[in-house]
Order: sequence, then C-alpha cells, then structure tokens
Amino acid sequence: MTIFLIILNVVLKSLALIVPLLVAVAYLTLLERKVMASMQQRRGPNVVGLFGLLQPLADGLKLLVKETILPSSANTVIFIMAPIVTFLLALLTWAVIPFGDNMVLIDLNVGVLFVFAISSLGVYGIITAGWSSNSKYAFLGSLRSAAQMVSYEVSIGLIIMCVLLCAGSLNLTEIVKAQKEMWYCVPLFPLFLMFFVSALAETNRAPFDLPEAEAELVSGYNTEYAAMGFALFFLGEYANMILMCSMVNIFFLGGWLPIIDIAPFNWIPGVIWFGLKTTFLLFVFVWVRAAFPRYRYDQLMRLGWKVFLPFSLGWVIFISGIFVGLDWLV
Amino acid sequence: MSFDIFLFYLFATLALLSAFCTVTSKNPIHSVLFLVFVFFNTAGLLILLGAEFLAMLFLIVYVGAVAVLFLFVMMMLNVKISETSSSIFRYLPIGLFLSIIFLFEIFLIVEGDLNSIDAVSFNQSEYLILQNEFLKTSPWINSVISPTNVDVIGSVLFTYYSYFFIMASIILLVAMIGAIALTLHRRSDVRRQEIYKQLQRDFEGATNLVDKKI
Repeated sequence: MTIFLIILNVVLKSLALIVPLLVAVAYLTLLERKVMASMQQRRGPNVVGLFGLLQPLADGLKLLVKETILPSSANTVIFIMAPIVTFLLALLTWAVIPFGDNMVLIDLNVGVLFVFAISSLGVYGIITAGWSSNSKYAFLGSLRSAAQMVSYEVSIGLIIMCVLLCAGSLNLTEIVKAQKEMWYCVPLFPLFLMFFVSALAETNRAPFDLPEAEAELVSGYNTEYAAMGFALFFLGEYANMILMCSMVNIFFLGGWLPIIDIAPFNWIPGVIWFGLKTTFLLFVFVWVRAAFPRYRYDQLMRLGWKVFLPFSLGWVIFISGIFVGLDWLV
Repeated sequence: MSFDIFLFYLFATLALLSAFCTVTSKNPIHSVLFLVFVFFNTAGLLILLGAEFLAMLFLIVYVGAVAVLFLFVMMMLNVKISETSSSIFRYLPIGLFLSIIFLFEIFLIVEGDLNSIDAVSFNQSEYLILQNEFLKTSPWINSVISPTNVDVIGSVLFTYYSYFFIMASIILLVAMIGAIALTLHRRSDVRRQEIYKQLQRDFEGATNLVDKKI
C-alpha cells in the first residue's frame, strides 16, 4: 500500500510539472507568432478562439491526427526513438529547476551539473534523427546542429563555472539565494550577454538556426518527420528554449527574487517573479529572431571558438584570481 | 529485497547486456548507441553508490563529449556493415587476454588495502577528520556537517593528489596542442574572410579615379 502511495505521489508530482510545461510550450508558440506578427505589422493567428488563443490547441490536434510516415529506407527503430529521446531529455531537466523558495521537485546538490549533462545529451536526439532518416538534408542538418551544440556547450560550461565560483555551490537553489544582495547580471554583465547568445545557439534559434536553414536544407534534421514525431521534436525544442531562459534567469537574474527587497515588490510571490523574468527572456528570444538575419556557418563557428571560448576562459581566470587575491572564496 | 538492491541489479544487468550488444551488433552506429547506454547505466550505478558528482561527470564527459565524437566520426566515415562471423574468432584471443588481465586487476583492488585514501585525508581534510573521528561514536554529526561529494573530492584532489592532478592536466594540454598542430597546415589558395580588413575599408581607400582616354 505504501509503495502504491509513493508511486502515486511521484506520478502526481511529475504530472503537476509536465502538464503546465506543455501548456507553456503551446502558448510560447502562440506568443512567438503574435510577437513576430506585430513586429512585422501583421495580425498573426486570430481566427481560432478569442484573439486566436485556441490556435496552439488546434495545431496540436492537427499534428495528432495526421498520418505518421515512416520512410522506407529509414532505420526504423532509431527513427522512432530519436524524437522520443529529444522530448524525454527536454522534460527531464525540469525536475531540478527551482521555481520558488522550496518549490523544486528534486533539490539536487549537483543540480547545475545535472542540467549541463542532460542538455549535452540533447545532441543525441538530433544526430540520430538526421542519420536514421537516410536523407541528405536531414543528415547535413543534424551534423551542423551537433557541431554547433558541442561548440557552444564549451563556452556555456565556462560561464557556468564563473557563476559557480561566485555562488560557491552547485545547487541551483543556493545559487539563487546567493544573489539576494546583487543579481549576477550586474557584476558579470559580459558573461550574462555571452550566456544569452550561447543559449540562442544551443537551442538552435535564430540567428543561429543553421540546422534548419530552410533555404538550403529544407528543414534540417526533422525533414523526414511527420505528425507526432515532428510534434515531439517541436515540443522538445521549445521546452529547451524555456529551460535555457530559466537557466539564464537562475544564473544571472536572481530566479524568484524580487527586483528590490522592499514592500510593494516582495508582496508578489516568487513564482510570479520567476515567470515574469523567464517570459521577458523568451520575448527577447523572439525579438532576436525577428530582428537579426541568419549567420553564415563559418561565422557561427568563429564566434563560438575564437570569441566566446577565449573570453569566457579569461573570465574564469580573472574571477578566480580576484577571489583568491581578496580572499572572498566561500 | 530493498529498492536499492533492485536498482543495482537493474543497472548492472542492463550495463552488461548492452556492453555485450556493443561488441556483437553488426551496425557500428548501433554499437555506439549501446555504448552510450552502458555509460548511462554506469552513471546510475555511481549514483547508487552516492557518488553523484562522479556520475554527472561521467555523463558530461563520456556521453556528452566522447561518444558524440564517436558517433560523428562513424556517421561521416560511412562504415559498411561488417561481416562479424569471421572477425569474432580473430579478436577472441586478444579480448580474452585483456579481460583476464582486467579481472586480475579487479581482484587486486578488492583484496588490496583501500584505506590509504582515508588515512591521507585524515590529516588533510577537515571534513574527513570529522567524519572519521566522530562518525563512529555519534552518527548525528553526519546530519550537522554533511560535506557534499564535490567538497570531499576537491579537498582530497587539490591537496594530496595535486601533483597527479597537474600531471593529468599537462598530459591533456599536450594532447590538445598535438591535435591542433595536426590541423594547422594552411593552404595558400583558400580565400578567407578577414573581418578587420573588411571593417578597415572606407570610401577613400576603395575607390580611385583613373585617368583614361576614351
């Protein structure tokens, strides 16, 4: 009986995390389309439901009832496995994200490393999808995507290291609490910008969306996918976007902490602050997509390896030098 | 049977099975994917041991970096599906030899004295002193001062094993320089984009009048 209760508890907790996440992903697509539309002086989706608010549900329904196509020359098992892996990994990381004080599913001591490990596994879904489709567009797209994600992971790792040095803990909750006096985006402003740009590249978003450069590669690694396979990739990608935004939020914008810890601001519960900051970052993601043209691939690699990597490595040494010199180490 | 034991058997069985599949599967891509699964299960075993930091490093380094490179190279090379029937017997002797040596080493470790690390860190690390001294008499100290994995590994690695640590990093650095040096040969006929030159160009330098009789 107790075992049954424990399992029920785990299932309910996971559902309470996953269902709002999926709704958030659905409405993120609507936000993206609406924001892009108003930036380009269009209306965006406005037919289904009030102001087009039911559009994501209609899209989801469409993808659900469409026919699943398995290419005859594809490697079937891996072809089916790839979107599932992508989706699963995108959901898995959310277990350690703290939404508020004590509002976290698993308070891991190595939370940062967990997030980093799972996000570095995200390459597998993409690379296996490209290979198993047995199509040159998909393959080229997946190779590009894998190379890009591996390159930018390096600078992300170094930037995270700087944040860890400042916070003195690998626990995400502790990192947020360490920013009580001062958000890290103030003293570490260049790192904040670099982390944001690396997050754009890591999630394959514009202006770094070369893996699905539709002018050259049709749609990249998900060219051969239809219906739910495509939907799972889509959900995984957008869940990763929200995840990276919450990581930027946790590392640099103080997570659930209010802007100033005085009366009108700290009446608002921490969850709302978290949501507001993350939504703002997501808005900037969409804004960047509407504002900037796509990078060329060699420019992308140059930015990753020749600009971000030396700069973030320099910051690691600089920060640890300051901490050792002034004896600030926690 | 407690849940831990069940998880241990689950991870260990899956790791062994997928290790077997890594060796026997015909398609090299499948081999790499099975290898990734082996790493996963090993990380699970490490978490069961309480070494969560090591488990995460395992995932980041082996699964996130090394196996991705394997997969990358395998896909780029377009390796043909190999004929396994003959090659199994060709590689069997050397494989057996290596595994016997490995088994022997494992027995050495199991039989050997594992306490040397504890004895060293007894002097070096305040956490371990607390653990060793007081843990036997009063278990509650564990809930008062609970050093995380990272603390313990760091305090041992950067004090007693610092020479080994520096040596390992120098070896890695040499390997990295070697890998870079291999790719360094510059062909002269490749046209590259030089951003400084592009930015330095202005109207004065780019246009000039030519006195030409028509």
